This record gives sequence, structure tokens and C-alpha cells, in this order.
Amino acid sequence: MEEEENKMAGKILVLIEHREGKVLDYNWGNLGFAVTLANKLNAEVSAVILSAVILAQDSASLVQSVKSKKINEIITVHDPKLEKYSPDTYAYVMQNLVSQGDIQVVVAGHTSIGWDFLPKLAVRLNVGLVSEVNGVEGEGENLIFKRQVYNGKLVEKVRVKSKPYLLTVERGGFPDIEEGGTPQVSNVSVDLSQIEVRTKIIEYVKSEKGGVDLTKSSIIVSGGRGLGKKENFQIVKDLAEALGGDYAASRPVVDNEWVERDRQVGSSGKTVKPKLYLACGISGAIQHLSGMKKSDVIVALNKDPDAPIFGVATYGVIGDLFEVIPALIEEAKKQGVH
Amino acid sequence: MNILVCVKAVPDMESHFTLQSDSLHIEDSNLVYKMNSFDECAVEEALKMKEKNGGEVVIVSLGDDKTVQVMRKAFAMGADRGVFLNNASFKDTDALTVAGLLHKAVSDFKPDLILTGIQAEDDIQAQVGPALAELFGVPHASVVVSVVLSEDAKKIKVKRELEGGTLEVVEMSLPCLLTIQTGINIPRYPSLPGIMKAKKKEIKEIKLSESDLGSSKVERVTLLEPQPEGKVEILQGDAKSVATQLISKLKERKVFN
Ligand SMILES: Cc1cc2nc3c(=O)[nH]c(=O)nc-3n(C[C@H](O)[C@H](O)[C@H](O)COP(=O)(O)OP(=O)(O)OC[C@H]3O[C@@H](n4cnc5c(N)ncnc54)[C@H](O)[C@@H]3O)c2cc1C
Repeated sequence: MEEEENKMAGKILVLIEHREGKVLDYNWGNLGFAVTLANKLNAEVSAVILSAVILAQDSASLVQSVKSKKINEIITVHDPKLEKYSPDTYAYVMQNLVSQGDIQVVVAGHTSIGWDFLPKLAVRLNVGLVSEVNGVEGEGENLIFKRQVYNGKLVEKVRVKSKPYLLTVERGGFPDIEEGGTPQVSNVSVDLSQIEVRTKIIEYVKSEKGGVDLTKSSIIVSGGRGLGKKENFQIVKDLAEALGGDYAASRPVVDNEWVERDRQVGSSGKTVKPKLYLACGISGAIQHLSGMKKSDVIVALNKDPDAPIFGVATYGVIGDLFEVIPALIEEAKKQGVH
Repeated sequence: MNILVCVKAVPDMESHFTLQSDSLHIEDSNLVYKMNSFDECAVEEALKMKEKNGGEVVIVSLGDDKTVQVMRKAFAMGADRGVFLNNASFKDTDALTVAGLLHKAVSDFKPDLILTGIQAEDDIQAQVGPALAELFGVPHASVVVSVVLSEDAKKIKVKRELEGGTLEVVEMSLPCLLTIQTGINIPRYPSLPGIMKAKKKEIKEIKLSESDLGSSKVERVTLLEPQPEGKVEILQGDAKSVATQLISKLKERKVFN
């Protein structure tokens, strides 16, 4: 890598997160972000794929799916110890790649992989890490990164005083990378013989199928912690029925066992895109929004005018759900909606 | 089995946040602080393990005066003692500095298990846990939703949550660090005797100077209110009038067809 002298000022390494042979879809947004950043830094974008087997240029599907993207390079590293994700191996390989070349930035998703190993790498390199970046401003040495704080009620802008920058990227925060590139594929060898993989992945347990398939619902009435207690959740179910839709919930509702887990909408639940999503007593945390913000019409019902849910809503009602929901049920029956 | 749990006092997220004139901090004199909800689940999980396997549950926290009541709550739930790193400007330190300070403060304690929440509700970074594992030199798993200890208490099998609801079953040896996700348990309410006992439990306070905080590599340049992505139409009126407007608008948009 070092002999590759060109006018570009270094590289941005983007970890391609994959599982069971498939590139995870949020990687395309991470690459999209990296290209924006590359323009600001005059740097190249290198996608990094770690795997157990040699990813021959044409056969391996992992490389195949990245090869058409508008980036400069694909770096592959292979070793039997890289068969599954582990923070020990991933941190070590990325540290090694950083030491081999002029690396300006290391990017991963704000995901169960990215947030899991990047803090480790940051400690080792003794550099700063910015989590869940959703915007970048400035040029060259004066980059400012944007992110949410206070459960999405405020935004902070930060500066990093060390290099390389380590960043995790908000899922869905950036447009996908464009097609039409011809990145060169280079295989880099990293010696992992001394590395012990201390966490052993035994299996993956998929969420159970069955029950309701919210991804097919055209009307969803969703309830959050604002309902207060299990018994109160009934009014959400009643409203769903009155509107001819299905009921769903935010994570705390499921955690507290007010409703079944297959009703959870959000980054660790279902991603839905109904014609109508009516959110009752849901604040609009980023993990919830990522599961529903592409719905056609979003109605937010919340007593807190600052709740971030209003930021994605089509219609907003600032008020007490215990007054508004019964009124909605009555009105739906009166006007006859289905 | 000795367990270290890292907790943080955070403001109630339903509060109205206003900015200080420096645009770097929130006005927090009149905010209600509570235990970060992820940490509350971490404390509960530690107590469940202690009940089964014995040992001590030690709470460590970096913060200002508001932190003491949160540590007392952990005591009232059943934790044994605490280490409190006190510095009013702790909010200006980046997560890796925080991990370094926590590690240094408890480096004489050799825990079998270290628990943190996945993230703090205010900063939403999810960095301190994995960084702390690296400093302790122990393996870790993040976003943990279930924990099973082996018979001989030497190994632990956890389920951690991946995107979209898939779970990853991971095994590792103790000592190790886990970052806890909500839903792993329903945290207990402190009992009255628990609250009485909590008052007598020891908090070792370490006052940190500005130089102890060192210089952070990630520095906030400004704090601001978000610009909404779209334009929301807020419906005005009492519940009945709002309901009439909303149903009509939704019918016009043909969402029910
Ligand atoms: C890794 C990870 C994954 C996650 N995955 C998900 C996920 O898939 N889905 C998900 O939802 N969350 C997820 N979360 C949790 C998320 O961060 C939030 O904690 C959660 O979405 C908050 O749920 P909520 O809005 O119901 O509760 P809160 O944030 O507590 O909001 C309750 C709201 O109700 C309002 N309210 C209270 N009383 C009333 C009333 N009487 N009338 C009207 N409004 C009222 C309040 O103003 C408040 O805005 C995840 C978190 C992490 C760290």
C-alpha cells in the first residue's frame, strides 16, 4: 500500500460489515458517507472486507456486491479466524491496516459490530472516536461532525483533535453509495497467529416468524412508554381496530412485556412502511425512527412539544393521549373509515 | 463473584432542555436526574447474579453531586458499596477519557464481571463499555439481552442483539465485560428496608481535579436544537376537534382505502 504514491491525501477505510455471506444493507450508506468525506479530505475510499476464505476477484459474492460501487479500492484480508466477527480480530486487523498506510479515517456503522470494536481500536491507537455521525461540515483539517444527543432532542457538533478519525455512522443517515465504479481489489495479509479469539459465536437465533407481519400492514397504530402501564395499552389496540389497522409498540413497551416482541418497531425490531403510522406516547428516539420514518403519513401524538417524533411527522397533535385516543376512536366510528 | 457496575446519572429525557449561553451545555439547575435506564438493567442483572453466586456488587460512577442519589438508588436496590469520581466538568470529557478514569479508580478491585449499560441516554455514544474492556484487558460483548453463567462460574454464555432482531449467542471466559440492553430484566423497585440500608453503605469519593480529567480528543464545539426534517402540521383545538380534523385529513389522503 505504501508504494502507491499519488496525489490523494491518504485513505478512508470503511469496514464492510457482513454476516452469513451477505453484506448488511446499511454498509451502502456508510460508503456514501465516506465518499462525501473523501471529497472534503481529498482522500480515497477503501472498502475493507474481512473473511475466512480468499475472496477471489470474481467468484466471491462479498466482493462482488461491493465491486460495482463508486469507490477507489477494496482491501480484503483473509484468515480462518475471521470466519465470524470478533472484537479481538477486527480491532487487530484494522489497527494493522492503519499502521500500514496513510489512513485518515476509519469508518464503521453504528451497529452491533461498529460500536463493539471501534472503542477498542480507539484505546489502542489513543485517538478519539465519534459515535453515530449523521452529518459533516467543513473541509480539510477543520472537519466538524454532527450527531444527536439527549435522546434526539438536541444536536451536537464536535471536532476531533487526533488522527486517524474513528467514526461510527448513523444507520440510514446518508444516501447509498453510487453504482458505476471499478475499484481495484487488493489482498493484504495480516498475521493473526498470535491473536486469541476470546469471544466465541455459537449460533445466530433469528427472530421467530409467525404472529402478525407488520411489514405488510397498511395502517399501524403504535404505542410507547407514554401509555404508562400494561392495562392502558388496550386503547392503542382499540384505536388500531377502529382504524382497521394493526397495533405496534416501541421497545420499552415490549421490554416491560405489555405486548409481544413481534410488535416492536425500530432498529432492533421491525422496519415498517405503512400508509399510516400513528405514534402515541412515543418520543421518537433514533432507533425507533429508523424503523418507521419512511411511512407515507406519520401522525405524532405526544404531550411534549419538543419530542423528536414531531420532526418526522406529517401531522402532530400536542396533547394527552388519554383524551385524544378515545376522541379518535369515536370520530373514526362516526365518520366511518372502513 | 465480584461484580463492578458502571452507572451514570442522566436527566429525565422528557424534560424541556434549554441551552446555556455558551451553547455548549444544557441548563441543568432545574432538571430531574435519574439513573440511566440501561444502567438500571445492569444493576438488576448484577444483583440477580449476586443472589445466586454470592460476592459483592460495587458501583462506580463519574459525575457531579447529582450522582450520589443515583448511587444510593443502586444501593437501595441491593448493591454493596460505591466509588464516586466527583468533578463538575465531567461532561466535557470524551468517552475514552471517562473509561480511563473509571478504570484507574477501580484498578485495585479485581472484578469477575464488569457491567455497563450499552449507552447513556444523554450522550448516546456506546463507547465506555468496550473501551473499558480493552483497558481491563478482558473480553466483552455488547447489547446483551440474556446471561447464563456456567456451573463452575468460569464461563459465561450471553445473547447479544444484532440489527433487525437477530440474536448472537456468544461464549467467553470470566473475567469479562458486558454492556446491557434493556429488556434483559425488569429492574426491581428499591424496598423500604433497602432504602434504609442504603444510607449506611459506603461511598468512596475521589475528587478529580481539572488536570485529572486531562485533555479530551473529541471536543464539542456547539450544541443546538435540531432542524426538523419535514414540515409537520400541528393540529390545534381540544381533543374532539383535533380528532375530527385528523380523521378528515386522513380520509382526504385516502389512507383508509
Ligand atoms: C441498540 C438499541 C436498539 C434499540 N432498538 C429499538 C427499537 O427497535 N425500537 C424502539 O422503539 N426503541 C429502540 N431502542 C430504544 C430507544 O432508544 C428508546 O429508548 C425508545 O424508543 C423509547 O421508547 P418510547 O418513545 O416509547 O419511550 P420514551 O422515550 O420514554 O417516550 C415516551 C413519550 O411519551 C410521551 N408521553 C408520556 N405521557 C403521555 C401522555 N399522557 N400523552 C401523550 N404523550 C405522553 C412523553 O412525552 C415521551 O415523549 C433501542 C435502543 C438501543 C440502544
